[in-house]
Amino acid sequence: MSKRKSIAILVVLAILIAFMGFACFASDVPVGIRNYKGIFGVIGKGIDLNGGYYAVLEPKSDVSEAELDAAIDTLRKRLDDKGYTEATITKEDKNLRVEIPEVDNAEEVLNIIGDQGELTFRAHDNTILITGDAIKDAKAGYDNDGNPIVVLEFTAEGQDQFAAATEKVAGYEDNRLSIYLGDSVVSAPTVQQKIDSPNAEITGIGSIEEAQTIASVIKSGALEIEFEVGATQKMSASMGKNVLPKAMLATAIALLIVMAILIAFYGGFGIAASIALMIYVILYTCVLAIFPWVQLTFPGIAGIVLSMGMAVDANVIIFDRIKEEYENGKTVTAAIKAGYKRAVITVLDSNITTILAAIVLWILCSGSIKGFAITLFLGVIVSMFTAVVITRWLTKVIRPLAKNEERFLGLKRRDA
Amino acid sequence: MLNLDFKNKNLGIVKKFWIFVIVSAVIILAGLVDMLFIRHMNYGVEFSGGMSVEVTYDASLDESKVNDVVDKYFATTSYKVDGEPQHSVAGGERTLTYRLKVEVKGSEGSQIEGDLTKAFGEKATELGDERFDEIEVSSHTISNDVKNRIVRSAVIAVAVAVVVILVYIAIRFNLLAGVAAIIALVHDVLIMFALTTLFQIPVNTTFIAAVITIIGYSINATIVVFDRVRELIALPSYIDKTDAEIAEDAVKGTMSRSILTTLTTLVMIVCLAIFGNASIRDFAFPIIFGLVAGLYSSVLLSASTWVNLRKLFKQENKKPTKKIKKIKEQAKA
Repeated sequence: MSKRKSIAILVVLAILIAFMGFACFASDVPVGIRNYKGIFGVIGKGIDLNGGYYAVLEPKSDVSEAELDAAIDTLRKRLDDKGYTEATITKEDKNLRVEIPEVDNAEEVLNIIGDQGELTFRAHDNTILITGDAIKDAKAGYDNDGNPIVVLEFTAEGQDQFAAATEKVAGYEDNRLSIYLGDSVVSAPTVQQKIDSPNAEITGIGSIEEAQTIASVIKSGALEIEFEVGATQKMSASMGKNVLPKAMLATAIALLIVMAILIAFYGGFGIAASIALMIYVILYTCVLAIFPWVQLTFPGIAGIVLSMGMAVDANVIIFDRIKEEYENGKTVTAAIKAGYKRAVITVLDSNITTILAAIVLWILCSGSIKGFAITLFLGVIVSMFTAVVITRWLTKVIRPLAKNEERFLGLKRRDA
Repeated sequence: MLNLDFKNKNLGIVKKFWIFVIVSAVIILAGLVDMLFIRHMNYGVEFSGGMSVEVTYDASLDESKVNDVVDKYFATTSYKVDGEPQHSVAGGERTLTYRLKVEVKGSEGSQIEGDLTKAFGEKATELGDERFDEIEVSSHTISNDVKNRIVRSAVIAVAVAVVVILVYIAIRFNLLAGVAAIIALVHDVLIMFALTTLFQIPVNTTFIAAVITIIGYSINATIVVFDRVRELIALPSYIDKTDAEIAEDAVKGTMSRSILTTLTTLVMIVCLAIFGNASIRDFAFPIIFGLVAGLYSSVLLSASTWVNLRKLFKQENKKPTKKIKKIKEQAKA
């Protein structure tokens, strides 16, 4: 590679890094792109950073997996109805963990999730005709023409109640028989005539997914699973807003120190590693932004920072190896080649235990710890790539710039 | 250019083994005594159950005035504050954390939040001080059932991590080096527990994450040392060297790497701890303890432990090169 080509590559690289760095971390750009959040801003943030509320719900009685799934659907519907569309509900053993970002009124949320309300069938004038006890089961399916339907199955008593109710409703001008859970409408089918059968179908549903939700809500409403609130935490949004910029500043300062250390100890190699580290930060930010399941949490920030520190590890292993190969008499090019070749395995080896630890945490933990495990895992994977592939290429690029290569790269022959 | 080359220095690491052991033992013992008999670990609400209430206020406000409002409020309720509130500072804000020992149910947390915010609002009008209006109150409640589940899953996570790492060690090391690596690992984790207890850092699920991370991380440095041991022991030029000499050379040869990589990781996490808030710091400190312990054990303890284990099991001076030499000699004869 000629000196001129090296300089050209470095200039292009500098522009690229500057541009991407800007794209990643700038926000509120004054160039007409309104609400530009930066790639970093796109990364999903956990409730501890963004503010929010979480509650753990414990069922008061024994419930099956299917019943719990039905309860999740019901909860989700209730939260959606109230506008908490960002809420997430996850299973933890037999408990449910509900996380709601950016919520102020924790009490309202508690009311929603704590008390799911009774399942009722009502006429147009809101008189309750049937309650949840009448329902034995509810299933989604297709009718003979392939349209999605919900099939209700009644108890023996429920069948009589339903027959009486349909007879009544069919006689009204407004012949809807609305199904309520608490005070929100699940479905409002119309009734043409009296139905006296152990089964009934709700037709005219838009999609099979909708049918499944309706069936699930009816079923869990009929079950009346009661939950106890086992844990709650409100997290203030201002905390995250205060801490995030500081954490970013801390990371920037720490990165500069690390680069200074690398250059002080490894000279030209350190410069290559420092540029690679900048590329790593950008690449890593993009990777975090791409995956929708990445959640930035307070421990997650620590995971990012930790993996940046570890990213250097691979470089140190490689550079030490190269120094040694040169000491033992190889030429610069041969030493670099041998160093990288032997180091790839060592780098894999030295990162594997951290990857294993991250996977254990990822699978077995929840909440903010999961955020940590994910950032650490992705960080280590990306760092191996930049440390081995990018640094190697950068070393090639900067070598022609040295007047005295041995001094520039900090290489020494062994004293005879 | 700076250089961390210890290859030609006489460090006497193996000779001073017992000094290093005593230093570690003192820290671990002090921590364990504190943990079991004196102050115990500072369990956060996730591990002890109950409720914690955090009051975050502008750092320019007088802490005692904030505290007074809280004390006055709790005096009117049946809640009892457990011990003194803990402070933490992050940027321009201070946080007081109150612990309440109660069996928690339902919406008690949000009720306290509402009541306290109201009390601060009244104080703001009374003193004409707007900063009281901006005080944020947030609560964290954990019932006994949830606490038990958290403890159970923490134990499971650590157990799984330990098994995974043991399997890895079994594949990666030979027997005595593996035992030495496990001893180093146990050492690192014990130091983490000891220092976390001695500095009374709140222990929540993040501490478990820190422990598992260190279990994964600190084995790396040990691997590097023992890889060097294996490399040296197979060299013909080392045929007449003692175990202690081999260990010494292996440590010296890998020392610059061990120090530099820990240093860069430490720089990152220390900066974060300085600038971060309480919940970042509670996570960062145990990791810092673990990183330092990992560096200490991999450089100063692991190889010497191997030497002493070989002595103990009468394996000293067993070398692959000697075997080859013997075979060659027999072939000649």
